[in-house]
Amino acid sequence: MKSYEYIDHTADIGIRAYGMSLGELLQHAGEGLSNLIIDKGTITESLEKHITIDRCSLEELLVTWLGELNYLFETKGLIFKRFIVDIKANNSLYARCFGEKYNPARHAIKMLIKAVTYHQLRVEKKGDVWESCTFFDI
Amino acid sequence: MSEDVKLERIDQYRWRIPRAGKMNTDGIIYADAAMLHDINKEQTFKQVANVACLPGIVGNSMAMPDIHWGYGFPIGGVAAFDCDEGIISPGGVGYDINCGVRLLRSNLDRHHIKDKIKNLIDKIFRTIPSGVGSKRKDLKLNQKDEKAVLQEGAQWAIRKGYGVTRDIECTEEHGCIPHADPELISNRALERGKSQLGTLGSGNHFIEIGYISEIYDKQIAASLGLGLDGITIIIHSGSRGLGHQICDDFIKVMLKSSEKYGIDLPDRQLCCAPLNSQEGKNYLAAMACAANFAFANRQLMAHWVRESFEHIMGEKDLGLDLIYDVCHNIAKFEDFIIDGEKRKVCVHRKGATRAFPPGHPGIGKMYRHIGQPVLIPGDMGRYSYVLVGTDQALKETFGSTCHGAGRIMSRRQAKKHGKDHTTEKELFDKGILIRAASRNTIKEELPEAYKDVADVVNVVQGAGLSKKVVKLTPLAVVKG
Repeated sequence: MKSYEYIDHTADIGIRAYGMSLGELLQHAGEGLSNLIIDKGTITESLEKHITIDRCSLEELLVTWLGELNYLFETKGLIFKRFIVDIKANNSLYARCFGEKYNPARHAIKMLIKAVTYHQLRVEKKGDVWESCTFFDI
Repeated sequence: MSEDVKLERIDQYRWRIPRAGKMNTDGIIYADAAMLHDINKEQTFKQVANVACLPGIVGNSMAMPDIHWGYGFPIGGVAAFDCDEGIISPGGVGYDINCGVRLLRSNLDRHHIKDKIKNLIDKIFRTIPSGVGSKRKDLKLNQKDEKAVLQEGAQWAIRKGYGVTRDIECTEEHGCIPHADPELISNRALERGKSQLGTLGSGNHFIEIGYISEIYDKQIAASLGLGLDGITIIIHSGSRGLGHQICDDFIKVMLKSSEKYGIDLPDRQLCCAPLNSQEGKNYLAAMACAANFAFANRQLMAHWVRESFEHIMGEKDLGLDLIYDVCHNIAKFEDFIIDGEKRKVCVHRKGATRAFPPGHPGIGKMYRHIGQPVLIPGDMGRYSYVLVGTDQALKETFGSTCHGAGRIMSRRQAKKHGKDHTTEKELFDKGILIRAASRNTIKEELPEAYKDVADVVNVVQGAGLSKKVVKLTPLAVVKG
């Protein structure tokens, strides 16, 4: 099973993420987002940040999660390589994010994300596998 | 709405999507026959038809020839809504609220400064930050300052010494949309905006030094101070993270309000609220904050472009006057004569430019005799245009025209296409220098990824929506 793949789009770009659990799905979607902004091979794990998101619908959870990661990059310069995401029964999220602060000497920015959109937004379980689709405004 | 949208030819430049199903009006697409196939690759016609389903739409749901797929509304979409029965939709404005363009002229002739172009573009590249990880150390805003920017727009920048009063006369809405209320903005939006004022951003945003390579209307060009071979500067940017966050915040609000007010949405990204509802009024007041931030943003960058030129040229009086500053992504209340009566409507322009004709009171006095200048940037390897607005646009499109070239290749396709080309080298051979914060951007933004803007401009001129004045050819470009 792939962790994630990018979806081509004329104006923008999307991520299709997969996971054996909802937590793993969000973990992979987060990795896909980091790798859109900065090549994940250049990101080290020198700091840890915790994120919590209150209960909401699954789709909202995905948009809020990716929006939070984008906000942390844009305002604090935080970029993460790895995530451990725990989803509670009521769809609230607790995540441990491992990464570092953006360093122009080592990190080349591939693209900046304006926003996480609701276009074709989808979170669903297909058999044993969770799958999501998210598009970003670039 | 069925997946297949019916399209009827009206004339060489106009195509109608006849009202059907839940549509409240017709859709009209401005294009020539050759463009239609590319336009509809991602069901863009359907997006025009979807907008026609929104309540209170006045006139047609329209799309300009640079139309391409957008979130909810198509990019290149124009739609006006009744103040009592109509709606306001953040998707009809876009994430980059008041993304727009400004053009500066100069007294410089390209033949006289050809050995200075490299120094000029390097200086601009060093002076104007792209955004992430780089900001002007001399521009520190506290929250009070930032709120003043949101209320005053470009006028704040002028008050602080970043420009001259004349710049305001040459900016759409005098660089300030009224009734902006910073108290309606989330802390997150304020935080995203705080470090990004005076930054270019990424993607298709750019600063370009070019020259006037062709003149179509000598009289109007002369009135604008645009002569053959004269050096010009285009700045294309928007409201940065602040505008993106405001759009994001209000899409969440509007998803709920569409349900609350029983608005049947053909696409979730068209979420909206009645113009006269509290949610609608709040969005307009928040949108005005982002629009004003964008006006101030472009004003600051124009000031630093002027300083860069003065530094490299070693003189002050370079005639770097602002020709105009236009919004591309905006919703505004404007008056039009509709069915013989003056009526105020809320015009959404998403990837479209206001194009008011000569004599219109919405244009500053200095251009009232020629019509509002309209700035249409192309890709970084070809050309851009200056047009003016017409009476036809006022009658037909709520005084609107196209806004640019429009992508035809995805970023991945562009990179694949560019794999065998050294874009920078090819542009250098054509006499165009490129500077970019990210090499990736150069590949993604290669000229072939865009429509030929000449085709787009020829349609709006052919349809009578605007009139060509001059063509600008790039010499050096900074990409974000």
